[in-house]
Order: sequence, then structure tokens, then C-alpha cells
Amino acid sequence: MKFAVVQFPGSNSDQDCVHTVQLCGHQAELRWHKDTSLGTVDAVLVPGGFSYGDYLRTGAIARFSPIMQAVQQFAADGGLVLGICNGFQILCEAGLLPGALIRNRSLQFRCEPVFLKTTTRDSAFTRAIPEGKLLQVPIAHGEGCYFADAETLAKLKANNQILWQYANAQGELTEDANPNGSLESIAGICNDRRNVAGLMPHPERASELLMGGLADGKLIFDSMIAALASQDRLVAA
Amino acid sequence: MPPTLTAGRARLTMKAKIIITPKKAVLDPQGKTVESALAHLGYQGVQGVHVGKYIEIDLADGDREATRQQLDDACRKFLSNPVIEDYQLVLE
Repeated sequence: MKFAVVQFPGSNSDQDCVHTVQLCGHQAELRWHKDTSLGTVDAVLVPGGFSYGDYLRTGAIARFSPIMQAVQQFAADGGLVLGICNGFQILCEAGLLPGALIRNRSLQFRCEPVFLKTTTRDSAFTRAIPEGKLLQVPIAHGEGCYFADAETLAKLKANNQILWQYANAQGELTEDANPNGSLESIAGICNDRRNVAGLMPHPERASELLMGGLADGKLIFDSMIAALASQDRLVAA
Repeated sequence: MPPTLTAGRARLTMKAKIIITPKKAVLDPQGKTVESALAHLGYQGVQGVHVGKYIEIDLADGDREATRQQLDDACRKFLSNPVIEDYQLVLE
């Protein structure tokens, strides 16, 4: 498989994404924000960081960069796209995912490991995660509070689009375990076609036991690779 | 009507003032923090604080209505995010 990792001025998890894909035994290539084509790839990763200095709003300027038109087209054609942290914010700004990410309720930048409950395994991004397994993955963001209006939130729930929620070590969705005030403790969602997803935590920073003993994040990459390999139900009808 | 040129530069004759505020339904932790700080400092009668953004745009002379439409478009697509923000546009 070949992954494209989009690189904006201010991206900082791009190389980690490339490294993680390679760790999984697959290829990853960087695509600069001024590129107009993704080339022939199987999936796209929009990495974390502070694209364009987070000016105006997080992701607001990045979404208009030339490469994002190619990402829009790739997603429209049913390709798998995963946005991580700032990548999630960019995909929301681009309208590829519903809702928005706003300042953390605490107004603090939160940088710590969190537990994620996988809400559904019925997606190309979660299928390789064992049933009931809590993922321990780090977060590092100041604007990760997920917001959507009541109607959008109801749709997300009805269509099973919530992929991950912040939980405590027992897997319970408590106020204390929610690091940023996200509605419904949402850490990550997918679109209604289920081929575009985003999450605030950084799975690529927890994919290798060598790096602090956390490798749960790799399961998300494994899921995408398994989905691409089977090619079944990448896109909902 | 083309812009009036003065010494090789467009004469600035219009100014857009755009105020962007969080929608009422959106959690506004900055507003809440400022509100409680005001109360803490002894300022009385504060019933709500909303922290937003102010953008000023200098514009070359041109058709006001067309300019307003363009600015509205820019506000909806780029300068504000309609999911979480409202905007007010004043063209002077």
C-alpha cells in the first residue's frame, strides 16, 4: 500500500506518520501543500501540527491550499482519508467531516496520554481494534473540543459515525476523562460514507513499543491497511 | 468602475469592519473566564461576556453592493466558520 502524507507549513507529525506507515510495512510519501496532485496512492493522512500558525482558526487556511482540492477529490472518489489532530481540524474546516473543534474548555493546552473507547468497529479505521480494547494514546492540543449542533450530533449517533470517545481506565465516559470538553466525549468521528475520519489524539505517536511502551495507536493504521487489503465496504452505499 | 490611482497605488476609500462572535449555543470558555474575572475585580452588573474577533479590511474604491456581496461570501466561506461563529459586517 502507498499512503500520501500531506505536509503544510507548520505540520509537525508528518514524519511520524511516514515512519508509522513504514513500521507497518507499507510505503508513505510526503505531499507538499502546494502540490496539486496526490499521485497514485491508496490512502491519505492529514497530519498534526499547527498549519499556517493556526491563524484565523485552526485549519482555516490549510483547507484552501492546493493539495486539499486533490484530497477533496480523493475523498469524493471513496478513498480513505484520516486526519490526526490538526488534520482533523482541517478536515472539519474543509467540510469533509461535520462539526468543528474549538478551544479546550479548560483553556489549557493539554499534552498527556488518554484512554480511548472505540465506539464502533464498523469502519475502515477501527476494524483491527480488538473488541472492548481501550487504546492508550497521547493528545497534544489546545483546540480539541468537538462541537456540532444538536441535529448533526443526532445524525452522528444514528449513523454510528462516532469512532472514538475519551474514557477513563475502566472504559467509562466520565467528565474527568474528557480532556477538552468535547460533546459526547467525542475524540474521533467519520463521515457518513465512512471513508473519511478524524481524531484529536495522536496514534502515530503511540505505535512503537520503543517509544514509551505505547503501541495501541498502530491498531488504527492496521485497520486502514486491513480495509485496503480486503477492499470490501470501504465506502458505504 | 476601476479604482482611482494615486501615486501608483489604489486609493483606499472603503473599510470593512467584521465582528466575529461565538454562536450562543457554543461553549465559550474565554467569555466565561473573562466574566468571572470581571466579577472578581468588583465590576458589577455583568450578565454575559462573549470573546470573539475583529477584522478590518481596507478596500480600493469600487461598487459598494458588489463589494458587500464579495465580503459576505468571504465571511461565510473563510473569515468565519458558520458551524461555531456568527459575523456582523459593516462597510464604511
